[in-house]
Amino acid sequence: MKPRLPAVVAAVSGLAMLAAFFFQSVTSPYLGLVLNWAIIVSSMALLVAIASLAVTHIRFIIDGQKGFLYSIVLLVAFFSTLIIGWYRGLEDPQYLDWLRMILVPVETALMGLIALVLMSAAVKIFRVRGWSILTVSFALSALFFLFLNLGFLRHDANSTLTAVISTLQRLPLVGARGLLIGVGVGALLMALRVLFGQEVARE
Amino acid sequence: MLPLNLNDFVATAIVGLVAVVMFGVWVFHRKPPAEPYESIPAYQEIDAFIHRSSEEGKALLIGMGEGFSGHNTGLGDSVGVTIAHTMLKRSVFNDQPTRSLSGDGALACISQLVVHGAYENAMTTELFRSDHAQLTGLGSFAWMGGVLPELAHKDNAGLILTGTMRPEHLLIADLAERRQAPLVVATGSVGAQAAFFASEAQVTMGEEYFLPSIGSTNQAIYQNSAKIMNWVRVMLAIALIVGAFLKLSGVLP
Repeated sequence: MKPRLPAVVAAVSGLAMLAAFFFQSVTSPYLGLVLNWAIIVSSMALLVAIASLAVTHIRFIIDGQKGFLYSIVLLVAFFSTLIIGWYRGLEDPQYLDWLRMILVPVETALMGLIALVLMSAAVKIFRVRGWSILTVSFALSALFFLFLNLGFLRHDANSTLTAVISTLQRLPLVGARGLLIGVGVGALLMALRVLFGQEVARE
Repeated sequence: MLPLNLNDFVATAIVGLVAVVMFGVWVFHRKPPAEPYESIPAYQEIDAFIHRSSEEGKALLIGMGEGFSGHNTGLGDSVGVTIAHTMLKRSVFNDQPTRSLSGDGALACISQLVVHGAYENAMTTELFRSDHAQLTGLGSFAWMGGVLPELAHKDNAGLILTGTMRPEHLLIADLAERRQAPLVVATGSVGAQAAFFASEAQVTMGEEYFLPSIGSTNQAIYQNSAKIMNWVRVMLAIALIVGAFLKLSGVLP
């Protein structure tokens, strides 16, 4: 019975939410309430996870584990952010500026690095995956649509050609939608497996 | 009150269709098929990771992605939890514990419960430590920032990224290649699949992510799910073609 109980609770909750969605004339006040519960539970979970992280790093420092200096940096950064935020308030412009001055350069540097890595990955694709129909068509279509969407091919005087180019530009979207239909069906199947308790039956 | 629109009714019809096909497959396909579908390469690789980690005495890392809250509204991380559960069940007695790294509080708590459950089922709760399932940072970049140093350890058998990913996470694949650490990416995010395809990582393509066929215990449910997905896909394709034909012929407004 024990492993079945969470599955039953999950299934009943899911089905109740589905039913509530379709009978909103009756259930609309409760939908907002349940959403608030979800937000509160999610926030509590975050606090628990942060506390667990802090405890783990305090333990690393006490035990003198390899790399405990990083744990000190993490805890100092975390507690200073927390205490200053608490003292000055979350809307304090100077506090927000401090945070921004740290976060923005770090994230920008990371984005620059990612751009380089993405470019090198595109160059390395044939070495990594070999020469096959899939890799060649992947690379050629990426190049073709990059060229097309940069706007080099334009012919405003000829409406037929413009229509053809516009149709070609939409092709990647069509392909992505085809993939997304498959992904959507997969996600739906997963959700129904959970709702019908099949995930537990597998155990 | 928000009125239901046509999209809501179409969505309901699709859910009903999937439920009917599920029931049909459950009723008419009780026996295992004579020619089963092949396992998905990415999940076969995860299976190989589990064996390798127990043989070599190295640790497995599971990157659980961004999590349920925040900007992500997909179901992707639920499958990630299933994959983590399957892996943990089979690696409880490894020399090095399998560790999961999450990018969201709720996901970190759930994965910690999953890890604890795996140890509890093996009746070895004394081996469980809370740092086996850890929050590494909130959001996409912070999570990635937490995963990178963990991946850099030399006693890792491999990294499995599962859940909601982004193309930016290719940085993890780059480090894995430089450290020669095997990497499997199981994600339903199409953008991330395309980005990781250009790396050495084994990637799930399209809807493969939703068919976690790791090991023999999951084969029956995998075969049935693949069958249901094929049927539903055929029906949706026919409906789309008929709809397009009716639209072009002017029957539909």
